[in-house]
Amino acid sequence: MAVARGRTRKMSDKESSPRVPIGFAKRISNLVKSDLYSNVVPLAALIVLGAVMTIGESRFFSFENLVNILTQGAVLLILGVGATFVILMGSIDLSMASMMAFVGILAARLVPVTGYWAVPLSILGGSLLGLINGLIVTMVRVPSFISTLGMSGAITGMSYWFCNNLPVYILKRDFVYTQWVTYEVLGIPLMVFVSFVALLLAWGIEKKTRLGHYVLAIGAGEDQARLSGIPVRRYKALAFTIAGTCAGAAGVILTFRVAVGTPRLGDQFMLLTVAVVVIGGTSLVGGQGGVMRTLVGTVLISTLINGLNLIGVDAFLQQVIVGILVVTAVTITIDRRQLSFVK
Amino acid sequence: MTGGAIERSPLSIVAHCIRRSVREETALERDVLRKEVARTSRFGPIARLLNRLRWSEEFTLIAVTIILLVLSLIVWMLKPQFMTAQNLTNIMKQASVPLVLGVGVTFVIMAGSIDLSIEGNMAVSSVVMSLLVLNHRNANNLGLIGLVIAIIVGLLIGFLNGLLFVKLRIPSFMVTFGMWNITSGLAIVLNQGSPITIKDQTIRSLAAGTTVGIPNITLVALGIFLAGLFLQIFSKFGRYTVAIGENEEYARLSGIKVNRHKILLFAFAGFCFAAGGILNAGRIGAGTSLFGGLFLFPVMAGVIMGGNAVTGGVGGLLNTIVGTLIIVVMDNAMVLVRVNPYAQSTIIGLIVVAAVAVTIDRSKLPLIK
Repeated sequence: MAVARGRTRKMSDKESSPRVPIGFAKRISNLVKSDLYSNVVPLAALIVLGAVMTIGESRFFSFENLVNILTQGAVLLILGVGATFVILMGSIDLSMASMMAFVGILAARLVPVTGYWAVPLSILGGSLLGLINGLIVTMVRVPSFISTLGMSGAITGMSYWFCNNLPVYILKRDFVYTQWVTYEVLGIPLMVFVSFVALLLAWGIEKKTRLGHYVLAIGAGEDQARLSGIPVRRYKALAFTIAGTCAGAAGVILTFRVAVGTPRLGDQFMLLTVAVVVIGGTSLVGGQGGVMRTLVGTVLISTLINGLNLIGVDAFLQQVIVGILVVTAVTITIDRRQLSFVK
Repeated sequence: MTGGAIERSPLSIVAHCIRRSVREETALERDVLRKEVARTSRFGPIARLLNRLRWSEEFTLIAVTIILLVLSLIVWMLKPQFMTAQNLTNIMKQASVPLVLGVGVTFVIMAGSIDLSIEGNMAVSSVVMSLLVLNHRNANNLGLIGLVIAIIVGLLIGFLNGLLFVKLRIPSFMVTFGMWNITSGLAIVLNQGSPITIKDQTIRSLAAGTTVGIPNITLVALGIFLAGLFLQIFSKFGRYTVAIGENEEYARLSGIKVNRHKILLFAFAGFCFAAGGILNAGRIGAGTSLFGGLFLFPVMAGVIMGGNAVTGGVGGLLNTIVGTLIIVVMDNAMVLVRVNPYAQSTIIGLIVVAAVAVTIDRSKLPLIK
């Protein structure tokens, strides 16, 4: 029997376990240990990116541009915060973008009828959709990636159906109910403050409440969590509901900002939501990460897109770049020990 | 403790003893334990009902064929124009591209993976082809060579998918999700945002013309389907794919080069998607980029509804053609009955979820994430 030479690893921790050569993936994992990446690299990348942008394009560090970054990132931050809870559990929610569009159309429709109440009502609609997602995963037992993919198609269809493929404009007389999102305080639009409030709320939930701890536990090891007595199904459904609520809030804010509800509102956000969570350092298999990392990821992506816009890069080339970054980040952060087989 | 107890059956105790007495875990006892866990009260009532609904493989094919026939009958009774030659020709044309795409998706799903990059691959291939053959944007006129080059591009995209999946060990849905976005963006960058009209008549007649009363596009699609069927039933490629989907560890221990096979698999899927993209481009007459689930959801719905479980190892191309026909007939029926077209896409999305819910083998998924 040939003995593997050079860089090898043992298949299990036993003394008699055979040695196999280290694959490319394992070398990457060893090289960039998950902890190191998650804690340091995104922040370092952000600083480096900021420096490069400032040198390259002097307009970058102006107050106006920084506010622009925060504004673009506000919606993304809310989405990312919601997605973080789901990804921390090891699941994924691909339907957040379409939920965003649907809730936006719902809000645009409700504003003339219910005024200020349109906001909580539509966000509640988002929560309901998120709850449905959660129930499908926990009760009907369908893997989240395919069920949320199917739901995203269904919800997009519902958005078109609801608005009959005509954009739903928010009329000028209703602007008093909607334009508060762009009302500027100290030069910063209110939506940025809203996104930070959402961030702080989510951070509180993650660190201080049972939900946060249990979600992390479920992600780290679902069987162990269940055997410890955690009602896994309940908290999974809750996490998906939070994601739906965040998608709803993001949809409402974005729709109010552009003053029109369309079914295509969330198109670019499907990739960006996953991007900010993964690039921020939260692992796709769950158990590691948090909303603060998503904040770093959001600022990073928002800065990157802003910088690419300033340079004049095509919007769709940006999509290619972000896609490549996502695949790279997943490669580095994913904890392969938890995936006994990669399908 | 509520609802979390695991029943101690004799089998589980035996398995536990095996584990303690043997130093190292073997694949067999992992399998035994896994099946045991799957049978316990871990699943809720809905899931257990759905588990019982899963029929045996042979019965599934018969069942979906019956569903297709019953559905066609009902539609025929409600709307007699369903059975006209023109409508049937429409159905054949409509089902062609999803069938070609479905061939690729079926092979990937049979191996237990998933490929979400259908639309991006289609977009890039169609744009590349439309840039190389006679078109209105530049002076190229490579004809069939352009077609071949576009197929090779699609094959390379699929190869890249497989490479990233196998070498970097990222879950397939994530790799293909990323590639979907990357290739979609790439397609738009290549065609600079607007569709490229194809003026090459050979390619247009390939997709739009008819021979002996049957649309050309259907003949091509059937050709690819039959080739795929041959691959699935008679070749090593097909049998290894099913083996990997059935149980990857057993397949690896049997000597199948799983990694190499997976890369080949995704490359083959890339070829199918490119072929579908080219047929579609020929049919609509332009190389465009799609985004929005226009093909992804109907194809997925057709493949999974036909009986191919996302967990892999069951089903086949015969299931796919029946499932695809069901979806196309349903679509056709909804048009005839004049249902809101947006309701159709909603229903297709829900069908994907429902079909997966019924067909997946939950004992193969240790955790449902």
